[in-house]
Amino acid sequence: MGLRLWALKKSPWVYHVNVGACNNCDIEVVNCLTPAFDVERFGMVLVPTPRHADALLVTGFCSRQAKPRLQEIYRQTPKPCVVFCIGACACSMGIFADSYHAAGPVDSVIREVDPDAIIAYVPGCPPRPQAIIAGAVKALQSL
Amino acid sequence: MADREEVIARVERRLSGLCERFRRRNERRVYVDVPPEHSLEANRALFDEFRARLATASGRDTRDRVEVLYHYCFDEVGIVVTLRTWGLKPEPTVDSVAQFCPGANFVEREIHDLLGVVFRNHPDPRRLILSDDWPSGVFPLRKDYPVRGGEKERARLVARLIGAGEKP
Repeated sequence: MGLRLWALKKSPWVYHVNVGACNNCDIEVVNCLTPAFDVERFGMVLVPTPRHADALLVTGFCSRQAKPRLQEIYRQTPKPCVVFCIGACACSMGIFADSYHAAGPVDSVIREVDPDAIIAYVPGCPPRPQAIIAGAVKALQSL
Repeated sequence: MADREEVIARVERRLSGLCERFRRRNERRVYVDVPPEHSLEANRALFDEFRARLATASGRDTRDRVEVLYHYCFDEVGIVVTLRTWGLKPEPTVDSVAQFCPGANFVEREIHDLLGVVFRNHPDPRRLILSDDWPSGVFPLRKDYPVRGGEKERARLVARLIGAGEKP
């Protein structure tokens, strides 16, 4: 394991990106960070800029307007980084699959920039905080 | 409620020369069809004279024309009066209500984005909710906007929505 991967797994800082979510997934992400589940005890901290982040928590189906922004945020994130698709919309576009304004799903938008991106999926509408934490643990274990 | 009946009667009297049809759908709901040449005066009457609250506006595509519906609440007596006006395709044009009611500004911009209604004298007719790279002149909630998967897919969706056996 390289030094950079070791550092990534030690204390992953996360940046939260909403690309057209209905806010339910965002509430569950906040729920993970607040005292009930408190992922900060594992060193996961919400940071205000992608340049400080080790992981992106992406929620939403990725609208046409959000697509170039999401790609720019991914470019700004130091590599290696993990992209978490939180919720049914981010994983597969959910009920917005045939929508006129959809550019997603998130994984294909990210792969346009970086075909080798590390992408983890947390399905659910919205996913429970336990599921988000389990997804984070599995993604970091698999690195 | 006597109050309510009185207000509806007053509204009917005021709009009688302007509207094509005045319908009482139920106790608390009134629909008024106003041709586009009178819509500005009718909206002004409800907003300025009756001091009704503009709750929202909605739009719908009825194939040969696009309708714009302004929903006015009379909160003291608990009724909603809907003013329905319309514009003919291909470029449906309706007088803007936002020129005297700021609350209608965003919703009219949204109706313009999605249904292509041109609001005459709108104070700020910029694009509101579609993405910056959306082609101009394409309106996604028009009936003729292609559904992904084509006509077959649209027929399948409609059949699923209305349920088997109940063709309109």
